[in-house]
Amino acid sequence: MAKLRGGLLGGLRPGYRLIAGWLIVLLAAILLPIVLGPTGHQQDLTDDFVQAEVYAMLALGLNVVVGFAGLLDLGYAAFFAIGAYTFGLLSSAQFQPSSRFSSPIINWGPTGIHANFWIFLPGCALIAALFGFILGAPTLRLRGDYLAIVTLGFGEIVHKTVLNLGPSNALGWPDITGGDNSLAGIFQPQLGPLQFSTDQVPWYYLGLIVLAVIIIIAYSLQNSRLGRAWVAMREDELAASCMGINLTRTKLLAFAMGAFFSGFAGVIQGSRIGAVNPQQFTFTVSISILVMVVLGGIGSVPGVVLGASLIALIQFYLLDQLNTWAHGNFSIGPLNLTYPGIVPASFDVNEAEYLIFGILLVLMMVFRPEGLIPSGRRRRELHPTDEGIRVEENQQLYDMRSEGA
Amino acid sequence: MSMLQFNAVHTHYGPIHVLKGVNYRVEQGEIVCLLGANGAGKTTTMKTILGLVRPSSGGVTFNDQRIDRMTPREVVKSGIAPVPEARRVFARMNVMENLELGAYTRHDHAAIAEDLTRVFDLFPRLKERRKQMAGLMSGGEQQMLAIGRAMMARPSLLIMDEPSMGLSPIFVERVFDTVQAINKQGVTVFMVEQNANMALTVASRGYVLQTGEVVLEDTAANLLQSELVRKTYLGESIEIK
Amino acid sequence: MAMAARTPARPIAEPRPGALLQTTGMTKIFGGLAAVQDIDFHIDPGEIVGVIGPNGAGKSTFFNLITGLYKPTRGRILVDGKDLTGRRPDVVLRAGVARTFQNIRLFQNMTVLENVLVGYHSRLRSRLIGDVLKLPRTRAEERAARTQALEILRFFGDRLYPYRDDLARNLAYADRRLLEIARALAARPKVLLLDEPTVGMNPSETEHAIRLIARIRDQGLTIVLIEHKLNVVMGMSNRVVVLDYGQKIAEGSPREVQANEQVIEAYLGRKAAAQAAALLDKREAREGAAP
Repeated sequence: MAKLRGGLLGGLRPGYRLIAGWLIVLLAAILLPIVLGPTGHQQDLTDDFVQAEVYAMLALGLNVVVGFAGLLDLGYAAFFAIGAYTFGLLSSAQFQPSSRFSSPIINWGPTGIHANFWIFLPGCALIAALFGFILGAPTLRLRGDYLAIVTLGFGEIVHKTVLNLGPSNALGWPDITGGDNSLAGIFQPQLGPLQFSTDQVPWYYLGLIVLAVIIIIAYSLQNSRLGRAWVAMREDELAASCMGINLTRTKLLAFAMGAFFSGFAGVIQGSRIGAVNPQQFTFTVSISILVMVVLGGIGSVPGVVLGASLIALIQFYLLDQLNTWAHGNFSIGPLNLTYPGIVPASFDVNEAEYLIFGILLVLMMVFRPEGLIPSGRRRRELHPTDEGIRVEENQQLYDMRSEGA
Repeated sequence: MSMLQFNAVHTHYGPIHVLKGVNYRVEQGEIVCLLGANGAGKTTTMKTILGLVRPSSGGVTFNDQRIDRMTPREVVKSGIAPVPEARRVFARMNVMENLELGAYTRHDHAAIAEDLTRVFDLFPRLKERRKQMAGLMSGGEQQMLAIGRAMMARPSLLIMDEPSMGLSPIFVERVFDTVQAINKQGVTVFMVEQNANMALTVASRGYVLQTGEVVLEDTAANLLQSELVRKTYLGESIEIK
Repeated sequence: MAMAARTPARPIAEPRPGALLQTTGMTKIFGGLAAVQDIDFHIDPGEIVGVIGPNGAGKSTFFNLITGLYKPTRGRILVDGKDLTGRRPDVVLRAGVARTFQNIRLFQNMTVLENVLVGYHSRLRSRLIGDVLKLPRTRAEERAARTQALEILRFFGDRLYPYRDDLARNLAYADRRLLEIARALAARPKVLLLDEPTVGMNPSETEHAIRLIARIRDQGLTIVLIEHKLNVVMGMSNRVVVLDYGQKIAEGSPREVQANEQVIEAYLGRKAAAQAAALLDKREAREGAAP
């Protein structure tokens, strides 16, 4: 693992500032649970942080599809589901074969199937990537809105499939996914003497390592021949094709890499919580991930990590805070105010979560479409007025996009 | 006072100084051409006239009225019509619809019908193809349409941005013949052109613009003889007829 | 566009040996109208062939057919003997045919250097694993590509190289046309299709472009050139092909074409024909051979 990372960093050559910035973030992240130890909130806060890590993995995956390759995917939760359910089915008591089989990779018997977590963590990610190829294939000739609609459709297909293949399903099949009752009892891994269970701290550090690897891979992709092909494809698909870029392969690789990242997220989430439920993979989840990407900065690796963190912050902290404030109680430190509630007593601000996300999306698109930490390229695309005279002089009298060839 | 006049016009894009105190004048009935490399400020000049760009100082007058404060719509209503670079016809509409749109700001229906007849007289080919989709016509025909559309606004001043660009030699001839014909009908023309050869043949006067400044202003005949113009804008291998 | 052939199509011609690029019986019909009809075309290594004709004659459509953007209704395309009819654009590029576009299609928000690097895409062998893990071979390939891309930029003198890290859309108009050519060259094609490379350039920029194209030819490339400017077509072509209403109406040396009545009527006009004759006289004097 260390050698792998050495190779990756060696080829990257990003600015030293960038590395320093990430190292500081990494250091802070490593220290976080330790610092929280004595506070008594360590477990529940760390739980939120692991959730944020999972969000970041998902955002980075969607960022490859939407940000790098410019393919609007509105059903991204599908890959999250595939990663989670694939692992769940291979690592629980859901299936109980009567025969026995034993190997270091996987064993099964009447107690269920026990996939080796450490093999199947990347393994299920690869399976998710395969589905990236499969679900991407029908979208190849589609542009813009039509692509978005088809991906939305696929998101729904996967969601409904896992929902409906539960107990007493319409096909008369045996229970496969647990449906709305959840696929529960997912086994948790063991690393030497350490048994992962409800203690969130080991999960946190595992997630941190996986997230770091994903971030490095994301940067690596961005600064590669493939990354360049994605940008060219985004700019002008036709010209890109005429310059030798295989559009099919380039688009499918985007879907596959995006799905790959979310596969990791799915395995970690499933195993950590110990159960998976279709509710975790709805259209609103896909949109939430999109909000993370847009908020943080489309195409920007640090941006989407920040976006994911902010959404987590909103979900786990800010909404509750807003709720308290809205119901007549404002306290920060020693300051403690009470006042008549702004909202009816029965109204929980948490219900307005998606309203707030929607507002955020609109505000970002209107005022800062490049996101909070814009990628250099997007900022230049969206704010050309800073550039030189030649921009204006070279535009035609009427600034209209030309039609296709 | 001249029909169209730029008085010490400066324009900026942010910190970039584009037009640096240019003075043009176009008298009623003239054909004036503006020569210059891309990036010199020709497009900015056109945009300034149309109200798409506002001068940071100086003013533009048209028939003694300040137009640099007007919206493009008001500029067109005051009698100036543009023929944009690369035609820019409405590709999904047919010839008739394009022409009708040219008269969008007018309400005098009888006169509009009269102008339509005049345009079809000028361009019989357009009359033949009046139901054809503009996007399917050849470049030369589109150029005719773009000029016809501008004429439908019954302008007193026509501003043209590189009318000969990308046209076959035979259509280049036709375009300039058309410009002369329109001019004879009483329309003043201010045109930006790369094809200095043809432009200076039909124009009476010309300006040479370099990096935002007017470096030469003279009659067309004199410009054709000038050293600078010959070297930069006429090229060595094109014969001057 | 001509009306679709109710007349029986001619039998498709046999391929010529030795031609680097050829089309036989190339036909494309859009909704009943033939944009291009029965075009037999060939170009031998080292030639420059000019393609002229009125706007709407089918010249760009012809290029689009060769490069795989359109599938022919009838006819074949052969590159160096290999049949590429109906193949995808990136396959055609890999077979050795690169092009520029009439309405500049640069990657506007990429730098000048990046645009050229995209041209290299087909020549780089690294796969996904190499990209992600930054294997030594991948890194070496990228470095080599960068070096060669800079070489190409230097070939264009001070028009492109000094602006290598500027965004493509910030270049001056004429330089953007040159960049399109540079990008196409990066693919190391055998045949270069230039679609009106000098449109919008003023005469001195055009002269500069002519010299560049001549140097590219001298480097061993074969060039097909769509152009309206007489000094470019008459001054550079070994042969000229004339299209009108989707059909080939003339083909021959520049002299022959310039004197052709049909060509004069449909395309040149008397004035330009005379100008062309004068140009050809000059060229003959310069080169000491009949053009």
